[in-house]
Amino acid sequence: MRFSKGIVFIVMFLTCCISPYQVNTNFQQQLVVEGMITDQPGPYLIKLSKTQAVNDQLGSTNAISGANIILRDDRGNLEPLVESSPGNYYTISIQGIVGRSYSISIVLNDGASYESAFETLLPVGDFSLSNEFLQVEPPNANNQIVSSNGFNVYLTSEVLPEQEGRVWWRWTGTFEILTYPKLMTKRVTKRNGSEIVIPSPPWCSGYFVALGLDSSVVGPYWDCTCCTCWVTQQNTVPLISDLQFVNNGKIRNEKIAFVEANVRTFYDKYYLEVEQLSISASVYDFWKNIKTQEQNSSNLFQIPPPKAVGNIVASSKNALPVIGYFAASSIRTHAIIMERGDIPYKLNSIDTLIIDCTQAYPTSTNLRPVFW
Amino acid sequence: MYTFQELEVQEFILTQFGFEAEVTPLSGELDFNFSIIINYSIRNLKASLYLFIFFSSLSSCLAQEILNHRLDGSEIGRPLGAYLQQLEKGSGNKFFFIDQWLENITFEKGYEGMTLDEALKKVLHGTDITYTSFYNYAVVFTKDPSRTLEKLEFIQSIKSDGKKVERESIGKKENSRPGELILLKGLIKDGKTLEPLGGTTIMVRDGESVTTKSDGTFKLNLPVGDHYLVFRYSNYEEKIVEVGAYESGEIAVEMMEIPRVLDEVVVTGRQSSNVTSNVGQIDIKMSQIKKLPTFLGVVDIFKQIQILPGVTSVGEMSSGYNVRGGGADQNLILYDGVQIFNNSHVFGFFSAFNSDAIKSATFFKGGIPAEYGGRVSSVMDIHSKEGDYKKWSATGGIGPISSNLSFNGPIQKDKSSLFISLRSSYSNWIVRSLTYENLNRSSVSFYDGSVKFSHKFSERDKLTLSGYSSHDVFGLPSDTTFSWQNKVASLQFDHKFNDKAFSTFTLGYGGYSYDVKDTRPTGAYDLKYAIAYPSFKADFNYQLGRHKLNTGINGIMYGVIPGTIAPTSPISNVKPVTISREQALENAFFLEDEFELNDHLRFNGGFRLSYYSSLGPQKVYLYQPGQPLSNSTISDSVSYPKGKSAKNYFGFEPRFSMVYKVAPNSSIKIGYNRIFQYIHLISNSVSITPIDIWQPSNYYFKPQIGDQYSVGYFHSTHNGNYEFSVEGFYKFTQNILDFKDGSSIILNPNLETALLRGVAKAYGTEFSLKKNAGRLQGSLNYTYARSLRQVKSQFPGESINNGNYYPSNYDQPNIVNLTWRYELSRRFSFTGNFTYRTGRPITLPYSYTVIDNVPIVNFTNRNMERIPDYHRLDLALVIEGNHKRKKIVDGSWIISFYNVYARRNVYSVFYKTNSEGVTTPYKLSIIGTILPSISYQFKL
Repeated sequence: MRFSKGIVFIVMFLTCCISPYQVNTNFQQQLVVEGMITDQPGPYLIKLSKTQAVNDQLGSTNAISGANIILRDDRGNLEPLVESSPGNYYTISIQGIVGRSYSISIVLNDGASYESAFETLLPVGDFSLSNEFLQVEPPNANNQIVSSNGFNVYLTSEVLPEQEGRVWWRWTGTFEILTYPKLMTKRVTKRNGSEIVIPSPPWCSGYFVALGLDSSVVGPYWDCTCCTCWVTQQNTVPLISDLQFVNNGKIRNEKIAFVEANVRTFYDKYYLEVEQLSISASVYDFWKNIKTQEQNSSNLFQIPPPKAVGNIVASSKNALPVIGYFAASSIRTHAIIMERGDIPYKLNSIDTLIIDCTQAYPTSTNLRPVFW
Repeated sequence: MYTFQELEVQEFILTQFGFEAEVTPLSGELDFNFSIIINYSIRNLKASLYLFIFFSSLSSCLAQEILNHRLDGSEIGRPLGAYLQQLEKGSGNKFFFIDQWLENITFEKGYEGMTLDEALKKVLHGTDITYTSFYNYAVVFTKDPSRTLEKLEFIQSIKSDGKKVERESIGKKENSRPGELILLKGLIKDGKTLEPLGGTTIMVRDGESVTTKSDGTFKLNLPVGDHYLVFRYSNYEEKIVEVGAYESGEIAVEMMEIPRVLDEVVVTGRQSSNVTSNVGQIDIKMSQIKKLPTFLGVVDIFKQIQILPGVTSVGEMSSGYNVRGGGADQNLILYDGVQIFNNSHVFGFFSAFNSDAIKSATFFKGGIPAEYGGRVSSVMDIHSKEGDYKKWSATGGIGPISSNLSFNGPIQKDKSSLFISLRSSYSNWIVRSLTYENLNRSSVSFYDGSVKFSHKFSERDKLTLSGYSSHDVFGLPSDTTFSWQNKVASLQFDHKFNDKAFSTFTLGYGGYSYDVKDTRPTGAYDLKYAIAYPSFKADFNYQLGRHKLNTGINGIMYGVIPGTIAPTSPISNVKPVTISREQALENAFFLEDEFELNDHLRFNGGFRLSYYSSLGPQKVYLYQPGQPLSNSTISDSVSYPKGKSAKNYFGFEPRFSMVYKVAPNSSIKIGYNRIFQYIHLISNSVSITPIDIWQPSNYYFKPQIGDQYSVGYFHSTHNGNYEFSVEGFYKFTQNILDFKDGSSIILNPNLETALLRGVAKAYGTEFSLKKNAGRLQGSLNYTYARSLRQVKSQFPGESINNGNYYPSNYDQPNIVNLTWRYELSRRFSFTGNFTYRTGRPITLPYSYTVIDNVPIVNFTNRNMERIPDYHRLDLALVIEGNHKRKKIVDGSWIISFYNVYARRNVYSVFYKTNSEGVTTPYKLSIIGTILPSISYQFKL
């Protein structure tokens, strides 16, 4: 329901002051577990980490190494997982099968043990995607890089009886950007102490600075490998079905994403891939509580935030509190492409980003995606 | 040879009798005492009164014995002097007096059973003779000229203030005997409408004070003689009557309203002094509210409540208020006898009632009388204004947010009258003028109106028809519109059988509903909730000697449409849902006796028997035994046909309160009440929201049962000008509902699966200091109170904070409220209030992680942290019109400054995740700046 969303507006309307708040609660470490087995080919990943302090989120992630994880099914099969990089544990050969139940048990190197409930791998229905351009403000010079105009992406889904109305979605969006690393500069201090700015294109740009007094840039001598990149975006809020909107085994026109239309996201086109997953009641509740937290965080009526726990429990005395999930899901995937030409007005050319494109976004890469 | 003590007494007597004395002190310490007495009496006769107090406090404890002697009847008809001499014999005590002083004073009937002390106080009242005790044997009578001076000064002050004194004589002087006690009965009426004025304070100068009952009558025991009686009733001109009381008799007094705009439009209910008033009862002084600083120029009765000790709220945007640690849903608000579910406009910013239309409001926070029931924590009984029976007039107010206008006057002179009031906002312009984002496409507006028609068939029969309606609309730029409305109507018939018996029949109808509409094509829906509650009450009052009986029956039928949602466009993804209607019947019988045992002791005892039925048609789901209630544990269901009760509850609700006057100006009050609450607010938020669900008790939701105990000490001095009180309470409530994490309450057909059951307890102490007269008036209240809850279950996930007690959302231990009003001149006054309260509990995160690209903060146990403390100062300048009685338009201005030092009080803490995935806590302040406003009120 959208009631609480509306309240956010009231808050903005009535308030002058929203300012950062110093949280002084005592930090408590927790084990974080996330991972799943699916009906798609493996290997499957289980990640282990520790929580961070609220005030120290940019600190390095606390991956947990050296744990023993065992995945088992309801037929007595079991498979230990292999840690391929710190905190990332993969299965070797097991294949998820619809109808079977799976669970994991974890033993950390300090001896603390944890386990999940048995999760049944439920089937999932199919779905289709559609989009619609939403123009909130008229295009002008100011809203070319940050805009409130864009595409709403909707989903119409079939919900199988076994799913009992529960559906989980995840999406990944990809867009191309063009940058101008050849224009990069750096500051240098001359012997007399004065600072000057001189050109400093990276090698990947194909250009370099000619030796000599004028420090001019020459090239290109080879193809630029950091001018064109692809940026990926993912949903940062949990996307699960609202049982109230499941009508006769169908979810119609569920808004799943909003793709902002600006000179970067639509330098070329925007590719959005959506996964639809089946989900057990306990994992659904986990995401639902997180969704509630998210929605309530700015709710004027201040609903106490629910605790998100998940379906992993500690099974030894020295164990840390634990948060996270182990899921068994079937997956269907569809993609939708929104073209630059679908925008009902003329978009300007991309702004001049003077940067190595792989550095432009935390998720940018110069590896062309297979679907591009 | 005198002992030193005797010497001292002699010395004292000598000085009192007007002689100078010299006594050789025996020690330095005693010297001090002597010199005080001697110099004092010579220099300053007036101050000797204070010395008495000083001495009595030193010595009275030693000479109590003879003064505690109880009169046995042998004193009847005997001159006081002779009687005292008889007592003195063989008792070892001594009375010092001059015979002439007491020669005319005789004990008559009526003193039997009193202690000598009490009897002397009575019999000497009104004379200039006082007495004090010395050491353990002496009682010294003095003719105290200072009292005469005080009396002269009192008369002088009346003259200088231009006050008029009326003279009344009761009985014949020649028939009276000094020392006789007479009974003075009286009736106080409004001089214009001739309505009896219940709650008028009558003060006998330098004596006790009484308050009129709701029928305007009072009784006073006075010794024969001349007395000044001061009659006070808020917004009415003070009246001073010099009564020559010689025989028992009656007096009728008419009081006139003060012809000032701010006062004219408001009348208080019952404004008794804190010493004599009922336990836990407070009469809201509407006139004072009007002069206090306002929030955006809107006068608000519920803001006034929140400065009372024991009452608080969670912040600016909260419709509800919390009384003695109770939830916002535990307050009964009655408007002309019909309950109101939503008491605010714009999410709690403004009261739903136009203060111009309110005649009186009485607030109970403890010792709730048996005639009220259904809510555990408090009762706010609001009566709307009745029209003038003589002539038409209009009043109004203009403010930056809303304006109001009311008319009233006779339909048929002296027979029937009409009162109409309307208020509407034009607050949309504020929203529309915003340039921020697309907020100018939002809308906020409200209106309310009331009408009251009264007809007097005779002096004994009166019919009143009252109606009230309010409406709010809040629209969002995202095409969602919230609207909610109250509608109540009541028909009341009052019949007076005789002077001792009267009855009131009330037929009421109330309705509350809300509607949420979304017009975005893909998600268009219309969600509705409604509750309607016709009611009936028959109330019979009978005065039987010292007993005042009140009995009656009360019935309410609840019809609830718990929720329907329907898609309103062909492509809408909304699934139509209708939660089946519910019906319930709440009936009650009540009986109450207010019993005045004597002048000192008053009991108020009674009970309420309530009987509640949750009626069909309804379907009750049954759950597997030994399992938590959830959708997956449903085992069966039972259907109940229409009219058949699915579940009945019976409640025995005893009520008791006692006021014991330990002295004429101090009392101890004790109160206990048990109340059953059959309707619950199903909410997961801290404050009441307009889209909350009110749910009648049913198979799973047991009634809340609240028990409250309170004890307090009340004291007033300086003729009631200063009042002090301290009161402690303990409250325990069973069957409270709390919200299960993550479950949804809107449109949930199995609501019992979304809620947890628990208990609540609250306790605290309230201190209050008030100054009621003079140029500077005000009050200082301090409350220390805790409000805790416990939700404990055998099932994991069904307990909150592991089943331990945790602070409720509105647990604010320390609360200070200071309000004042200073009259700069007759037309200008400067008012203000300061509020401080401990920050309310919240749940904060203690760690952070990212799962599946979703940033997640982990929260501590519920309500383990607090937001920063809240404090705020508001000031206002009130400019009233001139005080000529005749003028065409009488207007006054109020210039207010809300939050003077612009404190950014934290309302809530929330989290935002930025593009780099960092989740940061933010604090939100609803009002972070000083808010000036100006409003104009007028009378035609």
